[in-house]
Amino acid sequence: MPKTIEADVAIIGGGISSAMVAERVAEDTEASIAVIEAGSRIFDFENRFNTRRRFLDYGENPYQGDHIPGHSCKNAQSRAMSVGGLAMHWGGTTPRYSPEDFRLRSLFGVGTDWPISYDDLDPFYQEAEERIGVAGEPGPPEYDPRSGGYPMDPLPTSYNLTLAKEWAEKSGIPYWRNPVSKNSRPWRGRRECIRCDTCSICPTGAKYSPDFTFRSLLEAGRITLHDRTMVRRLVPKADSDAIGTADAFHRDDPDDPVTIRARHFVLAAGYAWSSHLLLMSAGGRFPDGIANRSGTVGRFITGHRWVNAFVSVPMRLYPGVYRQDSLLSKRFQHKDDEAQPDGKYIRHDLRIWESDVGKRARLRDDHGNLLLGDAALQDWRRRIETGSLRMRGYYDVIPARESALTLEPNRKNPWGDPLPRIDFVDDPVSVELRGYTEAKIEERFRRILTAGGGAMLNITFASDYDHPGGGCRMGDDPDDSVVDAWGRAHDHENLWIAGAPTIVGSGCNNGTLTFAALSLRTASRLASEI
Amino acid sequence: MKEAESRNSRRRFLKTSGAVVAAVAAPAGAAAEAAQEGPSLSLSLDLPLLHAFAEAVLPEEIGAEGVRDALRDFVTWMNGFEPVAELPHPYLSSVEVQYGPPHPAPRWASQLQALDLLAAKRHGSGLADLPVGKRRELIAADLERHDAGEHLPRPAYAGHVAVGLLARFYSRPRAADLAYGARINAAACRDLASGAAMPAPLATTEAQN
Repeated sequence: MPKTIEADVAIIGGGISSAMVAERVAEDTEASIAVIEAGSRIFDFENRFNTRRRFLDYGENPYQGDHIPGHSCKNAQSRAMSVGGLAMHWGGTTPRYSPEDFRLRSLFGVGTDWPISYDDLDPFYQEAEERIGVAGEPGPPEYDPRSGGYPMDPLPTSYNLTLAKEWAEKSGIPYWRNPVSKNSRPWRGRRECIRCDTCSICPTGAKYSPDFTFRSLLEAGRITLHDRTMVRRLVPKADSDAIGTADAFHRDDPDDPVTIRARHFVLAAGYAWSSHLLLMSAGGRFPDGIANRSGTVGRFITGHRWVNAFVSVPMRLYPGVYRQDSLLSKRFQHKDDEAQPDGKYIRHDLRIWESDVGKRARLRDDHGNLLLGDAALQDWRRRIETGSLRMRGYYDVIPARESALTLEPNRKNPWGDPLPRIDFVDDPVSVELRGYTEAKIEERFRRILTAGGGAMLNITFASDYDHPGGGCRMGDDPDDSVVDAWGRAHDHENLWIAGAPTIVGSGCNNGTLTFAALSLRTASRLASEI
Repeated sequence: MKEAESRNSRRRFLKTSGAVVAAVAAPAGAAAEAAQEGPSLSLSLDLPLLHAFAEAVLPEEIGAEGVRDALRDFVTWMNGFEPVAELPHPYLSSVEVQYGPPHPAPRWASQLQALDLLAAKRHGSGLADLPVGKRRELIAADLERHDAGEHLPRPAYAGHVAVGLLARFYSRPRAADLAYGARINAAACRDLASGAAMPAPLATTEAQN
């Protein structure tokens, strides 16, 4: 039976960006809000100690069924799709981008400046940190500027990281605690962290995940949540460019159409599925897709690559107390002669974690001898006299216009719709700099090793992009961007795009807090128009 | 719905092949459930045999009680195993949904049985009646035939029962505590402040148990 969903605001997508928009609009207005998510709701918080146990013992997915069979985006970051999105699984890492990230063209002559500055986003960073609850230790102001403090003090530094920090700072590079969305004290109804060390499946709720926001809004009667409902097409009104309806179906009754009517549509479906829906909506007056007069929908998909190393260090560490904890340095995201010593564009973060690489029990020794009985334990003890750490640097990559999400006409989901694929393509400037950048980061790792002592166990250079975004990038020029500085589509006055799709670059840090801050900024403007 | 399906698939498995483990130790839960559900295959892991096997594979320094504890844990782990379970989605990958391996117990049971037969043919007595050193020689030779590598996999992926037992034993937090001589207690939830201090040393009695 056909069904209609009517609301003042329809939010398509159910991840962290959706949660931020829904909460902010619900607070600022009395608008009716419908959240539409293709995945299922897995509101099983009460069962998470059990799912965590099975994750530890058997490696099982703690969010069983958080995907849609036959519905995937090639080269996407993850297969997961459920209410809460990837922020169900996330590690809760919440650094901000740096001020320089927003002004690459002005400062370095590469890439594209955002239409907003760090200062424009700062209050929304602050708001996002308050809403999701961030515990952090400010870094030196020149590298980590903030207009306000963190909502919560940092989690106490683990024993291993205390030693790691002393070791790393012998190089002269300052490190501080990576901020996290994990409660160092009870926060907004969620418990204090008890270091279960399985943050992808936090059994206590100390790590933020969007299901908390959605459950709270549902209990307050402020949203309706339509999960397992897949939107296939945005349909413009006949007499204007505004979006009139969205065509959808419920996965349990795919033959029965669901029509969504709203005054405002917010696309908060992440960097992959937002572009996918816009391209899928091509037709009539919009032959290249909705919001795509510029031809940039799905383009400028961005992200950062990384260099990762495991190192042996001359101190006894005890891995296993809190592996999720890490140190951060933004020293080389700054613009100065030490960060860019050769005048070339290079920017990256530095992170350090405890590790047990090279320090685990094993079955054979270095000579290939089997280790049965006491021999395995003796071999293990011999190797743990020294510790190991993981070092990593995310470096900025400028995306080419051809770094894009496209539809694959021959690969379709079970309902006959073409599925997307992403091809990451570097801008020529990043192609040219890649080798230099990776060598420079390795050199900086070795500088730390030389100063603190230790040896490189292995080093790898990533080929993928992490923390991707883009596809609907923001800009002032409607010919070269999809949305304006507030996330409103240039081509459709009542269509808003929130979070990851709108970013211009991925900088050198995890992106989720920035996606949340951008979503709140979009929501603030949307709310002012309701 | 999902959980019900999951339980049913576990029941189905145990009914057809899984009482493998139930016959060993019958701890609670799935094993007892399976035992009530009817006939099983004859691939039962023989507890005395498994015990004799474990004595030759696990560290001697954990003592008899340590071996019993490791075996209880191993059997409990097998009883709780869900064949072909849904796995976490790999990060930075859009590959299809990943599923785990089938239940390893039938394979491991047949390996144990074969080792016992081999012991009888080579030495005139079953594995359990051989001195620990002889058992270890037989097991090591079998591992070489199985091309066991340097690293211990996740237990369910172990091709050989010895690797499975060792992988499970060394994945437990108490094994790391034993190696480090400290109460790290990995994977335990704990109060925030406690992680800031160096883990306390293990008492001698803890180390032995």
